[in-house]
Amino acid sequence: MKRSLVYLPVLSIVLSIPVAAHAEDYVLTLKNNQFSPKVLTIPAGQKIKITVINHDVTPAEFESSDLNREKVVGANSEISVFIGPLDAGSYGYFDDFHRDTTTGVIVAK
Amino acid sequence: MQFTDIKTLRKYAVAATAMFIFACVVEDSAADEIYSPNTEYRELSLEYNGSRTFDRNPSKDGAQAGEISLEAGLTRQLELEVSALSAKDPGGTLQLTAREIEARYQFFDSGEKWLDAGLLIAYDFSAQGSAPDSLEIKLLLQKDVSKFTSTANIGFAQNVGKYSAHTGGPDYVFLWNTRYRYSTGFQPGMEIQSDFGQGHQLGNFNKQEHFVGPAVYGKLFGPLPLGQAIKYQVAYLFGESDAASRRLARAMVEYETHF
Repeated sequence: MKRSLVYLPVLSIVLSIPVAAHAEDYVLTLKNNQFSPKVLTIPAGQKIKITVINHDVTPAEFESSDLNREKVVGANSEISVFIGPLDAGSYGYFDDFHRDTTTGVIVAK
Repeated sequence: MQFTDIKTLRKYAVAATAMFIFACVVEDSAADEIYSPNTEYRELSLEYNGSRTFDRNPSKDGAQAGEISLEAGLTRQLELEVSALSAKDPGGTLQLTAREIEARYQFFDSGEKWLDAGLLIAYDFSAQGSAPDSLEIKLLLQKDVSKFTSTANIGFAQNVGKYSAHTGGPDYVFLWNTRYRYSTGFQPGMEIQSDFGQGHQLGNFNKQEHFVGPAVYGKLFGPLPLGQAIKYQVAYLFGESDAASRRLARAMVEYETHF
């Protein structure tokens, strides 16, 4: 019993059977410390690639605990963020360097 | 500092209490931080990680371990960390045991593949006269499923250098946690810390040290300036094998900023 308790979590990785899928591309832009679009709608159940383009002269950090992502995007630069497959629902994110004012939502449906 | 509400006050109290309890430098134990394979570019952080055993047997009670670290995300795939490690045996005295340099390398973008993966390599320069240095290598794995994140660290440590002859090894370890991302500041979960020991111990569960128990993780912003935060991990683990102490508590507190 004790050994099972210790070794059992390894099975959870084995049981998460991978499904090969091409990640669809979406774009988020950051300008004047505002994300656009503010609400990004994506299909649920699919892996998604989001290109975050920072048009501002200061760096930003795309961060979301809903999505478990945290990535710096330099001034006048872009990054790729892979998310999903997501269950249907809303997932918030923000710019950690301007978290009070620069936020957005990703809606999976 | 100004606390805007009681919830924020409670969160800071948890982090401060954990740091106070484990502020002393302590002896090496099975508990260690469980690392994500995902690095954080341009992040600079100061971290304290500590653990303590609890047992009715005096030879197992009160063993402690501590680590103070400074780490920096130098590229999108590489983080470097320098640390001071300390320890206290049951009934013993506090000692500086080693200075460590550690590198963590992220293989690919988070979420790009089915599993996030990376590698940790650490070298401990012994601070105790005739004790050997140590080389540690761990495979870091992480998987998100819905709002659950599971992380595994699998690896070994091997004594090396001038005083390593006849010290045996390598010593194999397996660390695991699964947490539910309820919010940025509160992510409850469970944790496994296993030290399989060296060759002759590998086939005997009760000669190894295995711990399982609840944990909570989180990141707090509070009144800190933008771009700064406090991360914490607290775990209370139960010994599941004869060689393990009855209980093991560990805590990590990290101040992060950016450069």
